[in-house]
Amino acid sequence: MSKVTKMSAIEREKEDQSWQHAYAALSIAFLCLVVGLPLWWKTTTTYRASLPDSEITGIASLQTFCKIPVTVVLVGGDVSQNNLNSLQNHLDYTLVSDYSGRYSRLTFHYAVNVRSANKRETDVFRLKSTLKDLDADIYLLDQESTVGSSIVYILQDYSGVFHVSKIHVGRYRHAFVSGQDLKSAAALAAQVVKELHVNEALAAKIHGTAAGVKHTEADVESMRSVRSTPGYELTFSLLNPSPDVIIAKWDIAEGIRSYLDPFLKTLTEYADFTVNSQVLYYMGLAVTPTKDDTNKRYVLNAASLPHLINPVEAKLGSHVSTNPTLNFLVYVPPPSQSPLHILNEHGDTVTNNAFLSPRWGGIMLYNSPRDTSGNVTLPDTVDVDMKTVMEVFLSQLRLLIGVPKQKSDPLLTIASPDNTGITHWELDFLLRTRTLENVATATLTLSSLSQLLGQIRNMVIRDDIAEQVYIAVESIQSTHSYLKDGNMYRAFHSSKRAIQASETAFFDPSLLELLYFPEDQKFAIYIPLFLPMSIPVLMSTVKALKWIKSKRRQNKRAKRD
Amino acid sequence: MAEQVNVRVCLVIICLVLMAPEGLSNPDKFDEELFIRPLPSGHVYSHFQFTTTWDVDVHDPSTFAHYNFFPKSLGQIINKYSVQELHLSLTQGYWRHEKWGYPVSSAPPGAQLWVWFQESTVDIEQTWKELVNVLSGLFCASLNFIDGTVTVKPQLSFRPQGIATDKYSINSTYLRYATLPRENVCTENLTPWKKLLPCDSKAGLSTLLNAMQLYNANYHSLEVHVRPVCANPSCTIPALELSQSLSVVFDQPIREYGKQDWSLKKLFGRGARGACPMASTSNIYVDISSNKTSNLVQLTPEPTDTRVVTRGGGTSTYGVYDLNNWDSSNQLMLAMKWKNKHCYDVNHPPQIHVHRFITGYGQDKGGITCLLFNHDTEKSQSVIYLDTVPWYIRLYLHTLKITTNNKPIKPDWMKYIPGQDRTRGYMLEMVLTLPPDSVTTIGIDFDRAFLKWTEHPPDANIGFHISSAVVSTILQHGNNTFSGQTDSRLFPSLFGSSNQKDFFIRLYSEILLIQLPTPDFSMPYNVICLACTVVAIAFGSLHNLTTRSFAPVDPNKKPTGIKAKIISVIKKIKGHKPDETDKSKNTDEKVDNKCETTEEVKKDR
Repeated sequence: MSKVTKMSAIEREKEDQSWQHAYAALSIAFLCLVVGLPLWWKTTTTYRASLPDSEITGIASLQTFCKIPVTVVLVGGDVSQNNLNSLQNHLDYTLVSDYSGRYSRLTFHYAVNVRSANKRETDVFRLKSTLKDLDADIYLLDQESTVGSSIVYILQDYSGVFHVSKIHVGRYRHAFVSGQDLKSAAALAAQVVKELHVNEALAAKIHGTAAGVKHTEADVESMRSVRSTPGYELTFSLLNPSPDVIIAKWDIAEGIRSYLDPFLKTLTEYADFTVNSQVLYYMGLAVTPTKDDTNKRYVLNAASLPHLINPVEAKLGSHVSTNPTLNFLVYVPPPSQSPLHILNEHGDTVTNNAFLSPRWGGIMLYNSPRDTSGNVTLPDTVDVDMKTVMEVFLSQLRLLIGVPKQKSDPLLTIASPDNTGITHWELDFLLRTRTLENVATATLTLSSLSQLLGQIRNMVIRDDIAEQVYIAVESIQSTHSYLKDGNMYRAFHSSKRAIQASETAFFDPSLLELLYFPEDQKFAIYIPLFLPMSIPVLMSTVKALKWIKSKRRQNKRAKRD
Repeated sequence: MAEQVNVRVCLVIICLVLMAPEGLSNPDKFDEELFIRPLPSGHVYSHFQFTTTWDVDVHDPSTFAHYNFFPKSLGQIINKYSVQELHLSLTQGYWRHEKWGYPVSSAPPGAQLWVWFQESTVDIEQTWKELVNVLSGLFCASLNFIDGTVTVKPQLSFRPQGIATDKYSINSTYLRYATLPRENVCTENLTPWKKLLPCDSKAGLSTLLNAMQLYNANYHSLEVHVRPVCANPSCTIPALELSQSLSVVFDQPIREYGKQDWSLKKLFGRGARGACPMASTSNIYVDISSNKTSNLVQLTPEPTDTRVVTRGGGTSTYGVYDLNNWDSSNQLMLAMKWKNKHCYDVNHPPQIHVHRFITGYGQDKGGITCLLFNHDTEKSQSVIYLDTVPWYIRLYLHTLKITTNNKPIKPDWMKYIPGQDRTRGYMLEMVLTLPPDSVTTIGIDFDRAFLKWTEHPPDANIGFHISSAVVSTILQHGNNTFSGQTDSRLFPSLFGSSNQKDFFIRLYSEILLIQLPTPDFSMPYNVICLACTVVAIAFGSLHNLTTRSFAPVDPNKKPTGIKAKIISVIKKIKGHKPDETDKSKNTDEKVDNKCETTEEVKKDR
């Protein structure tokens, strides 16, 4: 009997120990699960601030409505309400966007307001005799002309007085259309607004390109200007390939002051411009010009022009600015190669002796106006005439920043800009296209950023980047609403903010920090620790659980017994 | 006391009164010069100097728009980062003062950059950071490695060299000085440097800058100095002076079979082909003072002019070639020929020179010792000593010992900035008076720090460089120096005049190379593996102890389980029948094993 009790004592002791072991195993497993796992998770996880992913998808599929306020004024003739109504009807029919949804998610909406000329306007029309004066005076009285709007005067009586062939586009935001017949006048008004003031085709194309639409063929018009940039560096360089025989001088400071500054002043809202100039010596052309014996001159043909730029490039870049540089070079050919002329594709002499390189700048050849007898005392002094040079460069600069080239049309006369070099409606066009381009680019940047961050899970998203993304999203949304209200000025500035914020977020170096940290390396580091620890913990837990289960079963059986 | 000394030092340091040699004629001026001096050691020293002066006010950003001779790329940088003065040198090799005397412009091995920022600069730290990165791009040098750990603000050693108010020039908060002793200099630095010249390397003296020849030399140094100067004698028109210089030392006796003969063709591969058309002066100066009767020298062709300068207790003679008046159709094949082979004479070291080295052994402690030699037999010499040491060489100020001829001396003035790990280096700047004909020893001990494995540079086993110590002083006998009037950097001014009394020089000591404890770089993964294994073993045994118990096993009981089954299968394959003989043989062992053999007790049993 005593033996039995002794045995049972040992058994009991053993059982107690087994209970202890089971509890130990379970508590270790519990600790690993409750403390170890969260700790590991917390210490190895990357910080990712939350991004407005759904809103980004929302703005990516948003339709851009661009409202353009158009005022059509009927001058002279029959200005009865009836007539105005029928004009309104005609316009409602003709002044409809051609590009709605075709190229991209862009729709122009024209808000047409038809009225008759008021007293002061009629007076101006009566008193003035030239189109130029008319344009200027109408601008002075006009209070409705806000940024991005357009005003068309339909001249029923005065077209003869002002010699308006069909359409005259003024310097400001006005156009003058002649027409006795309201229907054709309405068609002309629609044409002016759609093709010139708004230039739907080009605006839609630029918007589409920025939104990521691929063009199958190269398009000169949309490739020429530099896209979405907050500013430009303008560098004027005088190239003197042989300073030993030519002393080239230019009064660039004066040239810029009188020809370029008025232009840049009107564009201050649009972009920041920094202007500087330099003189480069011993800077020759990489291409040897061919001799044209019949005309006693040297020529460069169109095919060789792209090769001219490369050797000069080394001295053109800027180290202090990230804005794109637009270069304007004046090349003074050496006496051994002058006069030097540029030939176009058809073999004709280019009249201004200059050419333009898209998104890069322009080059002008400046031949020394020496007498052709050839008896020149060396060194020859060449005084560069700033007027001819700046006129060429100004027209090139207009194209490079995105002012569209106007097609010539016999029925159409366009007032040349004043000394500012740009008309108000051209500036409006620039602001509008830049707004559309900015908003499309920013949207595209944000969606690719959100896609990238979604794909690569271990990229850190810092709070300030998330903040930039929020700012960009908010600015894009407000740009859309401003465009819808026809408030161009506000829309432009908010689109500027959008692109700035989205680019800052996208190009932030902190995003790249953990990008190249592959998964396999992580496991190489984890395995030596986790494998030898997790296997015994798992095994003992399983065993402990089994033991407890069997004990329970035993207890139940014992109870039943 | 320190203040008093400070004032004295200020007087000792160049105090600038600037006067232009000529009146205002052109807003831009360009001068090119080449100076050649045969050294007593047999080497030939050539120093090119290109000076561009532009009438522009550094304090007025709007004037930095239209560039002519002045390079636009550098001008824009000076303007954007509101630089008052900029001094950059990129040097390969060490200038041996005791053998070669004093150079026209001295520079430490590697890269050196010191910049004075304008008073209007808003955030100098940030501007400095951006500036070094931009300069790094402009000169293709690793200047972007300049950060807070190598940047110091010495109070006395580097004063503005251009026009500056007295109040500004003693305020070293506007100064940043940094060196990169490890920097290698080669053609990729020469090309952008040449691009800053108005004639590039297409005409004038710069056509002699042939990288193939220049980098085959004993010493090579590229320098860029920008400082504000005056454009007219009354100093009403401010101007900006850019001085680009290139020094190179060739060992001619080795090339020329023992003779020191040199010619432009031998040194640079071609003769001079006239001047740069824009240069107002284009001169070559040859030092012919060393003409001895024992070894006659012939200079061909004859110099167009000779200039004799007597100053500071010595006379020098220079042959001058004016390339502006040279017929550019034929090359100037300048050559200097000796009658006999070069005689390696007793070396006459210059008045002051410096030698620095590492003391101690092992990878724990060490010391830096610097010897300052004053060979002047009559006059004592006041010098400014500047030593900058990276943070991982931990200096101890209490170990600083300065002795002159074995007698301890005290510095007249001292500024010590202790380093901070990973943020700031050590700086020691002192003013010392060196007695006549003496050797002064400066010794200081250091500890070597352990670096984190990511802090080692690529190729860590080379070691770590400590930049040169800088010794600045003003000599009374300056006949062998090039410290002229400070109004102009052109050679006629550098040669000086007879009434000059103070000759400022700056010397650089050798750079030092130190070995720090360098790890095996496969270490991190090994450490991870080892640490994980140790943790796993410790955890495993602890875990076993708490969750398992040990108990004796009954030997008579047939073992069950996977292990026993596998063993029996193996035995079957081997063909061994578990027969009697085997059993009887193994009994003894089995008996022994009985008490040792343990197996885990199944919990469910």
